Amino acid sequence: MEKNVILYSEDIEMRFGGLYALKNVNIKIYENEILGMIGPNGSGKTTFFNVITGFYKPTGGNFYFLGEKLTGKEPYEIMVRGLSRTYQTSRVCFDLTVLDNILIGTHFVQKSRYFDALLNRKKLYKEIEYYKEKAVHLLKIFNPDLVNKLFVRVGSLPFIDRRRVEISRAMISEPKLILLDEPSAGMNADETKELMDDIGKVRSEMKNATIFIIEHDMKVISTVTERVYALNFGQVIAEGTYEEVSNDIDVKEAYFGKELDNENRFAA
Amino acid sequence: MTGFSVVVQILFNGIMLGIQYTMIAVGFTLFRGVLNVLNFSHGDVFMVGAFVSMTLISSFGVMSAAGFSYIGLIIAIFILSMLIVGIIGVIFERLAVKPVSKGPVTMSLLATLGLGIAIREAVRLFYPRGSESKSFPELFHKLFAGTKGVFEFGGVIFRYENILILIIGIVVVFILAFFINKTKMGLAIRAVAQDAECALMMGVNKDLIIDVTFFIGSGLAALAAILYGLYYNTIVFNMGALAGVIGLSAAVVGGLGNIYGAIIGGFVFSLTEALSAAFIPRGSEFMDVVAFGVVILFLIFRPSGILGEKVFERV
Amino acid sequence: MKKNGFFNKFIVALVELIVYFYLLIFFRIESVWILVATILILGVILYLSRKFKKTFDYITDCFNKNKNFATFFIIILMLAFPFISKLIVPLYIYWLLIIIQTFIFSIVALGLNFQAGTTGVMNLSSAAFYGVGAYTAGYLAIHYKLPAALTIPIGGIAAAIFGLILFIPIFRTRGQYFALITLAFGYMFVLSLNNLDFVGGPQGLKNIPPINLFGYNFQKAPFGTHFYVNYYYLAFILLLVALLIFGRLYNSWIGLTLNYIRDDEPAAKGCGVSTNLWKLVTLLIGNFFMGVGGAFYAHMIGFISPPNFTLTISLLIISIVLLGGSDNIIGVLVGAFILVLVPEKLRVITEYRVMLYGLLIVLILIFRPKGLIPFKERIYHESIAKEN
Repeated sequence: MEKNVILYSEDIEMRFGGLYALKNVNIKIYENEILGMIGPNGSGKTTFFNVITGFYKPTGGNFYFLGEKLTGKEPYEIMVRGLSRTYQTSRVCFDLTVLDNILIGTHFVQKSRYFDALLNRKKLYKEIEYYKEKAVHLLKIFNPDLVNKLFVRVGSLPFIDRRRVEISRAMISEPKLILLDEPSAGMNADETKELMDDIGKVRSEMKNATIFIIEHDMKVISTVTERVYALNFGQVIAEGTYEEVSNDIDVKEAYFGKELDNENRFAA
Repeated sequence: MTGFSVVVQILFNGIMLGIQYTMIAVGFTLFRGVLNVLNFSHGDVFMVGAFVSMTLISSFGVMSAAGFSYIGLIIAIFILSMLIVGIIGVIFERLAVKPVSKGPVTMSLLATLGLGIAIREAVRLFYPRGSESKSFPELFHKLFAGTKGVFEFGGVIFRYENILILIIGIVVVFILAFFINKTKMGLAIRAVAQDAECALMMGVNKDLIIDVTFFIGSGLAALAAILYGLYYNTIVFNMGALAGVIGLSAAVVGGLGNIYGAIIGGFVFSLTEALSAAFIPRGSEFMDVVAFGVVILFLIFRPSGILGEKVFERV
Repeated sequence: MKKNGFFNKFIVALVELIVYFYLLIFFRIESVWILVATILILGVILYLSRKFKKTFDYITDCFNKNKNFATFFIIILMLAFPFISKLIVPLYIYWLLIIIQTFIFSIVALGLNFQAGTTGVMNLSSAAFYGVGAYTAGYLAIHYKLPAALTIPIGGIAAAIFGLILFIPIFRTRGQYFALITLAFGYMFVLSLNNLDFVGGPQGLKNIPPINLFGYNFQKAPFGTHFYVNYYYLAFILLLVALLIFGRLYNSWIGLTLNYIRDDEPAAKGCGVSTNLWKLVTLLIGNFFMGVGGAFYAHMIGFISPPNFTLTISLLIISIVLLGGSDNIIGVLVGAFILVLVPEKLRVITEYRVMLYGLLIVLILIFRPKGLIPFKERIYHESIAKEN
């Protein structure tokens, strides 16, 4: 069955001065799949995320989302087309409430602006109420406890709940593609297990969404993803299912170094 | 005045100003590097330097000394002023600058702005007749007693004293560059400026280095103040306000965090001012505006400055 | 929590009346000791609030549950202020002027608060935009005989456009450099004013006509009081409008988006916010209010000159925002009242005022960077906060 490609990149190159953070990166993302990306530190995974979300403008190559060339566009132009993301360092605003942190995710779908804020409060409240319901619905999936904490400062929540708020923020606009950047970073084994369950819940909640995950934790990748890309030194070195990729020689070399040549060990 | 003499005059003015700006700019760049603050009180420390040295000169009776004691007194004044102001700078750093350095840079900008104003007003209120401009005593005239006192070059008259000031300034700048780049202490400063955490791990006493940096920066400002006083002969309590803004702008133009940048920035700024004063009608009134305009252009198009590195925001 | 609604309202009214009359006594008593007494009383109240926490919490609760009534009552009190103060305070005319100045600075500070407190855009040249409004209004009133009903809004618009011209090239620059540029700009503004003859140079603009609103000449004293009373009411109305606008903006998508831009700009971008555009609009709106404040001032005082718009004034506005609490419109009011009224009482130390402002900024930023009024979560509206 021919699956649609919703995002693909053509020879993406990202140079910082003399350093190639990304080189000849050709990646395809199919509709509805859960795609993973692995690679050692500094291999360019987050850089790739930053490129396809517009935070970095690639120094070479192009990428297309739903057939539209988005190279060089600003984040706000790209995200409104149906992407959302989380960040390696879990960016939420500590001083704002849980509700606020989730509501901002609806920025480009909500309708009221200055005029309504000032003169048509009823319409504003209706809209906020509507999205608040959605936020409550999402939070119930991850952690029903959070529903009582809608107006609590996010900074006072434990780390894993902050992650969940961040993921809810990414989901509330019902995007077509969700990018998760190392969602398990900073979590222990139990929390990681909860996270894997959460991702499963995201999947069942948003059946039409595509999920793209960067991860270091191989357990997450092997459990959750259907297909994986491996990067090293800014280039794609392998692609396939987790079994295929984890057995690939180049991937092993990237993580563990070259295999010792038995003969040379005893060379004079 | 021939064209050549105009150029010579402009160059001289530019260089004299440039040395003073550089010495203040270096302070800004060092503070930014080592403590990640934009220290707006530095200009007012410069002003304090002027007042301190002026007071010292009159109390020591340098004017009435002669011979070796005269020269000795001059050197003592310089060293003592730099020491005192250096210590004052460290005190301010401990009390007011370090506590706000942990937050965003705009916070330290504001806080030091407030501190600078407080210092300025304190001088105005508590120094005898502080709101008036004071004439800065002549220090070097006895050195050149018995000579013509001036020489002529390219149609412009130069006083020996001013040449001496120029030489002192240039020598100090070179000593500074040497210190930063070739000594162990200088290395430690650069290390903390690059990456304080890492420097800590390498055994560098970060707090000590910060104190030393503020000491040096403030001492330099005091030196700049003496040179300023000797050259312009007038000091006033609010001279630090403009000097501070200019010093910071120069540091930014040259590239914050880079000593050589501060030097380049200082001269870029002073030459722009000297040129505007000479060639733009009513230039001497507008020269600050023009120079600020240049700074703004830099901040828009190349905020990392001439020698600074481009920084990418981590996402 | 007693259920008697009327009793709660009574408590609210009582507290407000006590503060109100204390303010009047504060004005009435000449000696500096009233200031000492005030600080002591505040200290005592603070102490009592810890010891009798339950009572104080109850009082705070009364206010929270009767916000509309509390606001309504304060407005009534402030409307009556000119007349009541005439009865109690011999120098009421002087204090009226001071209160009007407080209102004006509140409006300007609300503008700056919207930029710096809510959006995180540090504008260090608020006095310059205040000045643009003042000079525009003054110039138009003198040379083109435009009425105040036009010059005041035009002053605001001029400040906004001026800000636009200035900020469009630079809002892409990062926070600290942006602040520096605004600082440089503040200097350039005053320097230019001193050298531009068509706005009077160092002498400034004189004889700016007073406000004449739809035929009602503000120089006429109503009901045998003083003509300042007219300006008082207009300033009060302008302040209320500003409070309403900023309050509503805060409790809406606007406030949320701007807060996000302030606290985590990349995350905001990642949610599709075109941050540069939003920051620009914020600057526009904030500058508009600064200009309106300046325009009003120009008409009221009739004479403006460059020293009115220096960095010191910008610092005062910043102190007001910082002291009361960034991003908190009640905080701005508190800050304005404290920072304008207290120095007036300390006429002994008028000389020391600027130095104290400087020290105050340093102290606030070291010890209480969030300001006096504690932070409150955004609730949008009671109906939304209710549980399902």
